[in-house]
Amino acid sequence: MANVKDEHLLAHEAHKHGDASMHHHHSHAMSSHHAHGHHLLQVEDLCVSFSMYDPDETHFFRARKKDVSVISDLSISVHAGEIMAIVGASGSGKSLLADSVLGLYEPNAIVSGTIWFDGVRQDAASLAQLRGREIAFVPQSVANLDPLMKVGRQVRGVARDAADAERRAERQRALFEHYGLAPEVEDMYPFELSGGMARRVLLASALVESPRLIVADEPTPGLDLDLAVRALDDLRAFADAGGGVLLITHDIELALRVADRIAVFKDGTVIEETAVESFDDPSQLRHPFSRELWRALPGNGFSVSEEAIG
Amino acid sequence: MSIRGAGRNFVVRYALEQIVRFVALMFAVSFVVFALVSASPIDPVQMNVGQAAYMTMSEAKRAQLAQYWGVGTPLLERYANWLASVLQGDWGTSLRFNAPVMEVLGNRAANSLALLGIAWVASGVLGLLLGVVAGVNRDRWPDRLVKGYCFVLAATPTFWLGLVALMVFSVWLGWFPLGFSVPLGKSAADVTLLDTASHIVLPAIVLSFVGVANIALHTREKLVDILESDYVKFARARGLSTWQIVRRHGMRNLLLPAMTLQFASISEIFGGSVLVEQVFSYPGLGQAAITAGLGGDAPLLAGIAVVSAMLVFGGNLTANILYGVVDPRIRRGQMRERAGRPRIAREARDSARVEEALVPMPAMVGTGAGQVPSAGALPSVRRSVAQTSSAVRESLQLGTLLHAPRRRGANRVATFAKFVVAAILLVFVVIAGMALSDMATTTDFSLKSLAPCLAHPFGTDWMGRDMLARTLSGLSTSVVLGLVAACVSSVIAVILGAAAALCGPKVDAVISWLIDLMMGVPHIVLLVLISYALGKGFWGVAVGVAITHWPNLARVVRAEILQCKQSDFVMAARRMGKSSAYIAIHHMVPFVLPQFVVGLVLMFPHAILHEASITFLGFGLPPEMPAIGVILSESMGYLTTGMWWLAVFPGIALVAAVMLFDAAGESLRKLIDPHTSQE
Repeated sequence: MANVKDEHLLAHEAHKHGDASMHHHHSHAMSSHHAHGHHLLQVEDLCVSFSMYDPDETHFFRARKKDVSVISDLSISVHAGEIMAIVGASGSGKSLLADSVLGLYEPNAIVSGTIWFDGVRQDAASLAQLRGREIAFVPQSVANLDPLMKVGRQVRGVARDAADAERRAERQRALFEHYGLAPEVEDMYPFELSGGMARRVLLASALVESPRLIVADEPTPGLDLDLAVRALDDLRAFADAGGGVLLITHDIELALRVADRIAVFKDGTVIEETAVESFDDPSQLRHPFSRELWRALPGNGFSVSEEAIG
Repeated sequence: MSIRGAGRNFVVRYALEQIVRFVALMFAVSFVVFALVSASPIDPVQMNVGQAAYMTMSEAKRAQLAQYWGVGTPLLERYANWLASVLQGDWGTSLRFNAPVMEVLGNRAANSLALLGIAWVASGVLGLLLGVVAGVNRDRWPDRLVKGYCFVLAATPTFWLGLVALMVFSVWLGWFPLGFSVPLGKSAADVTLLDTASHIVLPAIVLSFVGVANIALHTREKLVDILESDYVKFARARGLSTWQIVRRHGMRNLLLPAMTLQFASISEIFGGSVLVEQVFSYPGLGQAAITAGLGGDAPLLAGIAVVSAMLVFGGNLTANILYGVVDPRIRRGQMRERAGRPRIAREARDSARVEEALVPMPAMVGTGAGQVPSAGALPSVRRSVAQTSSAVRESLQLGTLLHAPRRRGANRVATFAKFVVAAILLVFVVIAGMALSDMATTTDFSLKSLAPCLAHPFGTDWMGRDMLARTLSGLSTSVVLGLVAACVSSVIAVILGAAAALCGPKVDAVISWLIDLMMGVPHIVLLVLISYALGKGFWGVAVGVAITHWPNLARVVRAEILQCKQSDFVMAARRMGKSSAYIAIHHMVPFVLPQFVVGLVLMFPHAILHEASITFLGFGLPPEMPAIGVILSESMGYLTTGMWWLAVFPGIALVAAVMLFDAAGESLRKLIDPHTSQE
């Protein structure tokens, strides 16, 4: 595995990483490394809540507005060179984490916490500067493409000037070639793409700007495990080349196959952040829910043990 | 079959289909005109020569005139004669203008098309711009401003706006001539371009103002949808700013529906032009239609109805073709459909159609009209904007708070309160109007032509009648009439809409054709005809409004039921062995009901405005009745005398009543619609 050694590695990097030992509340994978001595992305104590009518109040007019918390005290780190998978149930609010990292907030959201990118502390405005440039997003489906714009133009994005437009066009063509998309795909409209083509087009859109971190939100909907793993080869290659990937998924098996580290998301927070290898042996897992998750995997008995209950 | 060959085949078939539809529509429209004119109890001879002349006329002369006006000739014979000569290129002779119909139409159409063209383009461009500004700034002040403007405008009768414009700009300020298309007494050769321009400006402005509301509100709604779409979310995630997104994705997705709507709105603008031409004495098609309608001039009416139906048909056809040519999902999909990939294209087209059918009525305004702070809200919500932003600043310095909520929209209780207040006010108007109906007709010449004062807040007219009493009484008549007509209309809409969706393709085809026919002729023209056929008066208006207002709601009901019928939850219920009755009651009714209730409530203002318009034109309520239309029509005669209160106050009262209905409908929609009830 390409563990690109950085000249500026700090001392602790040299001896602590590569094994599965604890550090910054999490254990590391073989490929994880701290370029320039810090995490590529670090999120601490993130809280997201929404000001809305109390959904539990059945009486229509008696309902009060209240702050409904969706994410609370969530901390997570992504290193350069790794795929970090956030695994949690569908509809549990994982996607809000992606929005928070990208600085995209719903009007009625209340978001607090600290986010560092490449060692620099960010606020909403600076995150807005980073998104699309340093931090790219890979969405779920073809619905994320403008139905009335040709695919090539969409991938190229908005150019600053003629030279930039030329650079983007070249990059788009190179990416299409790299991902096995025929040149005529450029002139297609989104509704003409197959599922596989759409996925590669979306990834190409993310890569046009040469980002350092990719946030991918359920990028393989509806694919079976083997196909999904293969579909994520491209993200793997991006990580191996030194980028960071934050993969959001509900599929623990998929995460175990492609990711380097896994964060278990439950009840609006990350309960455990650990290397994939920890799932080889349940004793490496600290949180009872993670161990339960382990036992629920095929080949581990599909069972719920007394330990988990107790 | 090659893809290209399939495409050409499709074009040929489409063209043939459209030609058949067009011919059928023209036959139907002209026949309906003759049928309605023949059915009318009004004797055109008496009507046109006047009572006194008629009494002194010899029997032979009467018979001759009766033949001239087609009295006593059976409908079918009369229509067949007309049709035979039309097919030979002779459109007959206008009985009122005593000239060939083609000649009258030609002169008038040139005037009208200039007016319509200017207003159509201006309202389209301005409406699109305002809609974009409002949509981008959703729920902030520019949005509120635009929405408020559209809200008021949608509630304003075109003819009243024309009256006020005439009063202010022509009578008071003297900037523009007082009506007509050229200076009076000037020979045609001496008329300069400047003369023509100065006569067309004011009516064109008034007409464009009316068209703006519709397109602006739709553009706003559409843009709000677009800005919430997944692809815009992705564009944001790629770092595009809001304005970049509007330029790159907004316009692209907005322009097509906006242009479709604008082409489809030709009918409405034509209807508006009838009223504007009447107010400005502008010699166009609309004014000719009124003259012909008042005099029972069937050949001219038929000619005008056919021309207006042609305009409307042309607009709709252009919109359809535009969709096919511009929207790649249809343009490219059509080819694929032929080549064996049917689903996508058909879905795209269907969704386009459903979207078209679901286009809300013009008076419908988007979400969040008022912003009343709620009494019992949590402290965090009650924070004012200033406090919030200072909190944000503070937290950003601390580096913990990344985003604070922006409050928008009114809360449930306030929305409900708005509905109740609007409803109570309307009931009050109706009761007060009924109570004051005696006072409204009391004349007292010692109090004539008083300007507004404490005793008579709205002033008095030339017969010393109190204008406040007359206004309230007129409003009450209008509201009751509008309610009755809209309710009848909605019953028709539900029956026909449900039948179209549920009773198989044949029934659907017939009803859809009927809807096309009703929508193919401008409302006002149809109203004039129906009202004339029923001998004018109360029933003429009531039936006319009831018959003309159902198509829009019927289309919505049909589209909703179809959507429901094809939905997964109904499919699932069917597979689970539920009976049709069970599905209808438990799935379809709850699905369609909100749209229907709101459609009904929003139909009231339309019905009221149309009643006022038709009465104003002289086809509606009789002059003895203190209807708003009558009051405003009479005030026309006092335009130059400085008695401004005769036109201003009743008009404002009408606008206010219509806006109350709008407010009631809008707040009801917000509460019923699950998409907005959480806001």
